[in-house]
Amino acid sequence: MYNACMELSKDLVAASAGPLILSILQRGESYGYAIVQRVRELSGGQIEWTDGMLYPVLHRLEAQGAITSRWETAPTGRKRKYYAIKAAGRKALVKQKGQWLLVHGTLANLWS
Amino acid sequence: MFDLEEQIRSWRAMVADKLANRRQVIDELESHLREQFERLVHEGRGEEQAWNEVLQRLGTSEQLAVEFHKKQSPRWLAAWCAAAGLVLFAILLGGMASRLLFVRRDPLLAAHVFAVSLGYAAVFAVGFLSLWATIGRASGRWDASKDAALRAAGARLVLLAAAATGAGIALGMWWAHRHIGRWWAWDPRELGGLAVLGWSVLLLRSFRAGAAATQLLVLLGLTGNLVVAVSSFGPMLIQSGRSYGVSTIGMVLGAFIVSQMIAIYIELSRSVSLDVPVARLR
Repeated sequence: MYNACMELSKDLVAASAGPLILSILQRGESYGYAIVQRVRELSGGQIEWTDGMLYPVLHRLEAQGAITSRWETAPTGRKRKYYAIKAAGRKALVKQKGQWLLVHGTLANLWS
Repeated sequence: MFDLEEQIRSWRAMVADKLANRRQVIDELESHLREQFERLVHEGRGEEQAWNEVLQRLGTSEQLAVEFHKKQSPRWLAAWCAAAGLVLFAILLGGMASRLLFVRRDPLLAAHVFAVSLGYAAVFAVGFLSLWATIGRASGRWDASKDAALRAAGARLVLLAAAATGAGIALGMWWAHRHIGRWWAWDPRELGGLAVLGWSVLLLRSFRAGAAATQLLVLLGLTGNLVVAVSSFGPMLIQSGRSYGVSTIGMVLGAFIVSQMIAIYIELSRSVSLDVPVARLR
């Protein structure tokens, strides 16, 4: 999913996609292209998703009830599919955050 | 001369087959292609170069198909078997209930038997999926798509289990009030019904919760098998009393309980890994 400048393992890529998307959507609704750009921007260009791989993840999250979507026509006349986080997604994200921080904290302690 | 619209048309034709003509998905990807193309052109790329780059970033139609196929996931053999078994059971049950309806002319009892039995069978169906998942997980044949299928099928089945068992109990109480003059007497069958209803609600809560770990769902499903087995066949054993002979029901029930305990042991032996709930959100 990433053309990574810093090579990330396949498992890490797959595991981090959901929390990254949910975290972005928690700050407001967004659409696929903007989400890819946001991830690139936040990672300082280090994480670059293969664009087409984002959409199956978005659709999976939607099927699981974590996010919802709606089509909207942008001022330019272009149709965009906007995604927004749902209560179940927020709840899942809280749990995910705890897990990622736990792993991060443990590794930081070991490596400090 | 580069023609974006012509390129988009041929791209759509190429991916349509691979993505099974899912128009909304293709529309969404097209919208992405256009935005990315505009950005690259704005940054100074030539149109043809920008288009090639955009396609490369999106991935080939084969790659897209593989990723979307992972998302589809509902084709899990176990889920189809559970659904087919449940439908077959409902048909047989319908036949039995219709006899109660037409021969004994007791629609309330017929509806009670149908609803309670269907509710119990739905809990068994969740247990069957959990057993299949335990075997799959233990043998290394488990992936995110099967995980999603277990959650999707389980969520529907537990809803049916709770609704049917709850309705069945209510109908049974109504029948008891009309025919025996009391609503509830804490007899073994009533207690069994209450236990199955309680477990169905627990399953409902767990399967419908966003981020419950797979291991928890599987363990609850397997335990559901025990709850229903004891609730259905336990009262029969109590009513038959101690005969000093060999009880066939007891033997089958005992063997079933042991088999489920072995499955629970196998599932518990798996190390709890942090990636399970994370993987769910892939």
